[in-house]
Amino acid sequence: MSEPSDEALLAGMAIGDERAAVVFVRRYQRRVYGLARSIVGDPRSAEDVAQDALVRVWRHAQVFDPRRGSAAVWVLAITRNLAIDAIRVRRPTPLDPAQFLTLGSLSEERLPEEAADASDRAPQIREALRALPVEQRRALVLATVYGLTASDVSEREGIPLGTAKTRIRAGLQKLRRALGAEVPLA
Amino acid sequence: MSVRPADCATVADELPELALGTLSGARRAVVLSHVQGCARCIDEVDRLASAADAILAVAPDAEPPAGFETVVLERMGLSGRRRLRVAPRRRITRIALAAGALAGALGTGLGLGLSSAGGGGPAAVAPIAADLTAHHAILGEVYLAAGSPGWLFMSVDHLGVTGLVTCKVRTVGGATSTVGTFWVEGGAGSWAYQLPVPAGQVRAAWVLSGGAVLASAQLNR
Ligand SMILES: [Zn+2]
Repeated sequence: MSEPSDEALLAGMAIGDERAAVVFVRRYQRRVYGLARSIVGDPRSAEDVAQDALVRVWRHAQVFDPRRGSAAVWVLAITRNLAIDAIRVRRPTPLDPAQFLTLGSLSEERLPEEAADASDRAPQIREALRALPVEQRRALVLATVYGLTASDVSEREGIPLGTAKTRIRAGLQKLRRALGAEVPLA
Repeated sequence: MSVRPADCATVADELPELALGTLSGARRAVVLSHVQGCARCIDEVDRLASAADAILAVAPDAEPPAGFETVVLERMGLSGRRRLRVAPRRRITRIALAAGALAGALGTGLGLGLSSAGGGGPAAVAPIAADLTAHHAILGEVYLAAGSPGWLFMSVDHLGVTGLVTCKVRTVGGATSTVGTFWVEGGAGSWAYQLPVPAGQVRAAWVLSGGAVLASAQLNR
């Protein structure tokens, strides 16, 4: 282990360690920008969202609680929330969960510097997502990544509300079971 | 208007929507009124919410536009020259302040405003600080913050090496444990670690490189 863990970097950032912040930005900028880009579509607003997310991580590093989940998920959740806010303001280019799924969940090579996250469970999550029926996978990604409600999903997919609810619920329950006790919790 | 108390089976199907924050008003009240008093359902909602967030780990990477990193670091207030200069005295004050904030943050439960039973924040305990020295020269500082877990903060300024160093502690019983490793550049660096042992039991800390002790500190005397 020649690289500090994400958690160690965040702990350093929490006490104002500027070196930790630089390493963290270099390690995460591609993932943060990539997620922002896949949610907002437009490169210009993706850049704004990604910058806001990293600045927010630096300012709020003290509230990161390693017992509640990995640093990667915390940072990406901040990015997602900002991206969702951005697309709510400005009516989005059509959302395409397929983009998130094919680019993200199939085979994505990580640079060595980005693999330093020892708790990287991406392969396991890809596997679990692949095991879902495609319609459940789409509904689940629309709800969790793009922040759509069941009623948004029903409208977008042209399916009854009840069906949208069932797909999201079943997809999430299956994913949760597949990840099982390994979902990091206190 | 009294609401009939729901049981686990009644609310089970709605926990995913609660976890995603998309459950609507009336049902949300009913489901929440059960979940808030049910450790099993709180745990399930936490796990569903964690699973939903875990999907983000497979987000695609993309190369940000040129200049992205520079703009981010500027917006963080970290521009080229300033980044490399951190006055040691200012640093320890900042460490002390941040340690309090960190200890507070670690004691709180996040997520949906639900908090499981127990788990109050760590009590405020007088911080323990000591100089890191070698041959009577002060090379940096160590600071311990109590809590569960406790934290060790370390900063060095004149260590005389560039590279990876290891931090170890010795406890009251004489046992030693490795706390972590950190990067020192031009003899300087600062880091924070979770302690593998209670802060109150730490008697000494030292920094090593390739098995050689570069500096040590006596604590809790
Ligand atoms: Zn229950």
